[in-house]
Amino acid sequence: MADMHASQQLFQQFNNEHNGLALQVQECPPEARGLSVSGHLDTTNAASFSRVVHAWLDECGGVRELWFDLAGLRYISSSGIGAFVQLLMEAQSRGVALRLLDLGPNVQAVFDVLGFSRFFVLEK
Amino acid sequence: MMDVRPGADFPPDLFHALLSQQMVYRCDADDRIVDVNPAGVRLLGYASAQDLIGTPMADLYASPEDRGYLHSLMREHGAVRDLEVVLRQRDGTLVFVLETAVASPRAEVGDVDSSYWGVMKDISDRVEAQRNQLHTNLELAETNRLLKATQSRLVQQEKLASVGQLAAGLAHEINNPLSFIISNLDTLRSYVTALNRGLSAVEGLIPEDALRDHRQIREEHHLDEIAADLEDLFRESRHGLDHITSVVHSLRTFSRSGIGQSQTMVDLNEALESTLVIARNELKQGITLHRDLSPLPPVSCRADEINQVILNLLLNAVHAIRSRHTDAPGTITVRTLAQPDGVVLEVEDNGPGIASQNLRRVFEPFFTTKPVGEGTGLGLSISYDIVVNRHRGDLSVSSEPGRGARFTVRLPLSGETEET
Repeated sequence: MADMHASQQLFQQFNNEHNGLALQVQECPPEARGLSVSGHLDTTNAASFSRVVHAWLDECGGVRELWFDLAGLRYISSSGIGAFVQLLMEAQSRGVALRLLDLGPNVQAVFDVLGFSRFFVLEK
Repeated sequence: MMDVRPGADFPPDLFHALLSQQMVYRCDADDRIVDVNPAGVRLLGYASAQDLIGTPMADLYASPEDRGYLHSLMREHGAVRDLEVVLRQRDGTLVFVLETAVASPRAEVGDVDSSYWGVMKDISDRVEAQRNQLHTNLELAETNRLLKATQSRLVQQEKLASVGQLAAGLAHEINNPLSFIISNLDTLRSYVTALNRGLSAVEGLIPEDALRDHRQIREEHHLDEIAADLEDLFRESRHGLDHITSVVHSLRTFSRSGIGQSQTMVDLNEALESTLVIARNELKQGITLHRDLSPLPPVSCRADEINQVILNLLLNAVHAIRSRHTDAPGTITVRTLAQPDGVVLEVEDNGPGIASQNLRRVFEPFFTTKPVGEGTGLGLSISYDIVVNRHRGDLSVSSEPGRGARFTVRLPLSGETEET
């Protein structure tokens, strides 16, 4: 089980180093881990986002689902979608399902335009 | 034509040549287009700049919310550099661009009413290339998973086929001696009956003075008790042999297997009964089995595979009930039903049920909620594959957490199945 405190520290450091994108651990059922993503995810922070979330995934041994609450994500670019696609592949290779929740219409639109919606579990 | 002037030291021709490669626009305080260059007209698929003058910029965005986001950045920083946005061309085609915008030189930073200038660079080709790369990677990963699942299914089928062959071999080996034991027992029983009748007849001939000795001998050797027990012994032995016969029959029915077995007409009730015999040992400890079976028309299917599905569902129900770790009585109900176009088999348990977020995943290969090492996560996915892909049927699950789960198999009457 991931140490929630360690995860919070990981994201606190990320948040301190990145303006415009905030990551926060969320409460979830026992077999899942959740993260809220707020701000904008684009070419300026997609690589760092990927790194920190992959590190988090390493800490989440034994979980079956990762939930991303995207209600606060105001903007995403194709690079941001790329970061989620990489994460999806990594999660699937570990047998972990990815659920993206509460996408705003503009965020959902980029997933749709690029044709990636069908690969993800996207929930309003 | 839009009037954009270079600085004093910048060659005007070069300046305009560079700008002509990208869309350049100017907006008024209401964010409506005031001016746009020919590259912008082309990028958006219009015939002339006049068609675009007065159009709100947000209307050109695939997501108007992104224009609001750009406004907020403008308010905060007075400029935006290389913001990726998706524009909608006149015919609806979407293009990815990088937008750089600055407030009008006459405006102050933070003055939201000021007009501004923007440059849009078409990056659709680059985004398309990246998208294709990611798509290919995702599809490869999906194919890999599918291959892995298929390989596991084949290994599992291979194992089951071996177990089936072993069971069929054992059943055959047991069946031959069993036949003559049953036959001999029945003969023995009739001989003993004949002997008893003979002895009784002989007893009638014993002289009065020898009868006392005769009774003494009978008592010493417990002949009366033995005679009374004999009938019970024969009956119980016959009962035991009948049970062995039924198990052997079930084993043979269950393992009419082998890879590439063709379809046969199967009565699902019979398949269920023979599988229940196989699962009997698992079912008897603290679990009550209820049968609610209706007469069914035979369906065309691969019997070995359908038996495997029934066994998987029964064992799944048993494991669900055991996972509660309570002494409360466990109940499994098996139900069959004839429908106009097929037959239905339900296996229902009163186990802990399935959490809603797991419900749609139970048929995924390798998905299991059992502790590591206790479940492969393949039983239900193999069952799904057999019913849905190989028999054009349907396998569904419904569950209310805390109140058990019900798996429903539907098989069509016309059993068009996938070729092996």
